Amino acid sequence: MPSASNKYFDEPGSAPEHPRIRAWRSYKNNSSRVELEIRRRREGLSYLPTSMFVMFYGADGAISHHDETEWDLELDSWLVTEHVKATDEDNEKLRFSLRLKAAFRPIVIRFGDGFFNSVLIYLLRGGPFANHQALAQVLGEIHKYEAAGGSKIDCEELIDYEIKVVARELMGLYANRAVAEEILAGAIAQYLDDRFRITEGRLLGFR
Amino acid sequence: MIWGRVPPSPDEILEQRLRAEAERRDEPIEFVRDAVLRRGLDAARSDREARAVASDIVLVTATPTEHEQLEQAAEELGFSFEKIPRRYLDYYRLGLVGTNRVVAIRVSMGAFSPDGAAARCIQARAETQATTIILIGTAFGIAPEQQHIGDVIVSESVFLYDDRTVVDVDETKMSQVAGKYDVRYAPSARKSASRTWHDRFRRLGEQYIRDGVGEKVYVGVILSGGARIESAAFRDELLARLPSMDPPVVGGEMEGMGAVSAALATDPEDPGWVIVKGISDFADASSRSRIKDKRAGAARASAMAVLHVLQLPPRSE
Repeated sequence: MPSASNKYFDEPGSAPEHPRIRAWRSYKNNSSRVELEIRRRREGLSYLPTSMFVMFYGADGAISHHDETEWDLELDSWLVTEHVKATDEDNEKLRFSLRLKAAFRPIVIRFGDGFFNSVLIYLLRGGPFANHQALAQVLGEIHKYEAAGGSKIDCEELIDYEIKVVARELMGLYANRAVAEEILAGAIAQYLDDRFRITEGRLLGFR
Repeated sequence: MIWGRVPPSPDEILEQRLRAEAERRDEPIEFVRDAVLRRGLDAARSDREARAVASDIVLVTATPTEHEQLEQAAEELGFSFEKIPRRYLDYYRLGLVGTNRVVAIRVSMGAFSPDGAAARCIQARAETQATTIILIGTAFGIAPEQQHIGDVIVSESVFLYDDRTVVDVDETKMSQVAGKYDVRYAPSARKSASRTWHDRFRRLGEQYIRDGVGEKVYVGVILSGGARIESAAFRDELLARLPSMDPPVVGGEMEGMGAVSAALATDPEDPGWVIVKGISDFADASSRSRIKDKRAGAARASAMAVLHVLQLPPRSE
């Protein structure tokens, strides 16, 4: 006869929610609109920590609550599921470049820098955004990549999957596919700029 | 296009822009044309030169012995070590090691001088577009009874021991504090290294044990600072005043703080650096007096460890 309760067999309860999300949910329930702004200020060659500002607007259009914290994937993911957009397209590109970075990190750990870099660039150069102006410009600045040895299939599949997840998230925020595509291409361009230090190289006079 | 009007050719557009620029500068158009051409050619040359040293990983050595041992190790394992002189520093191209394009550079000892690790690593990262910096060479161990000369230490994190506040101790509290002053470290003194890489060196350590290799691999906190330590008393005092850390401190060196600056210059969340050094001494007078004989072996152990890890297959295989 099975016991009524057994910690080894019982289904785990849902993970505890971030306390900030509890507060944000209650603010959101009493708001007519919520807006997100990502702030990442450059300081010389580096960036100051990335912050996220969340503004809750009341029915009269005035800000009823606002909150500021360091950018956090869990918090941002909650905002994505709640269909909260960033203030403008550029800010959305920055936000999704951070989401891409977090999504790609396990793939970099699994395959190593060199392999990941070569597969990513190979995929993007042959992908649907290869001719997107911002992305093409960054891809043009990245030194020529020979495809790394070994099977690329697993790595390609994981990268493609993560980009598709981001594309779906964007379609959840923007019904207009052209806007979603523009943001995704811009986010990838921003991610590449950060990863391969394109702007940093330019600031130091290397390109 | 307006009917009947021919759009300007690219040459005409360029001429218009040059004319406008000359007006803005109030200079003859020939001067402006010359300056633009010169700058364009400089940019093209810079780009061409940068592409010659394009890489995923930059290996950084400090002393001539470390550099020579890396060269020897590379040649023994069948990699090239082709010198590519560049405007600010010389690169040595090892080619494809595993799935990584690798170059090496040599910097001055320590992190402070203009050609020290901090400045050179920032330049190298920007020029090569590398996503990881690996500091190799020699370091001091901290536990002569467990560690041996030639063992390899790998940074799970680096602890910048100069990043501290030193304050006088209130006489009433002297019994609680060892000495007349107290040292306070900020939480920012400890910087995490790349998990991708120290995990791989853990795997190498396990492989060394399986294969019966004499050297051991210790992954832990590496102290980094500007002091060349040749005193057991100073070393022990330094260690005694550190906050407790997990994993524990495994050794110390002088260039790590520079690499940390270079990595943090772009992405504090994803530090693309790791320190991998062979133990050449124990920061005491006795072992430092024999360092000349030991440095080459320790540097070789570090170079070999790195070149082996770079060839390890990705985890998925």
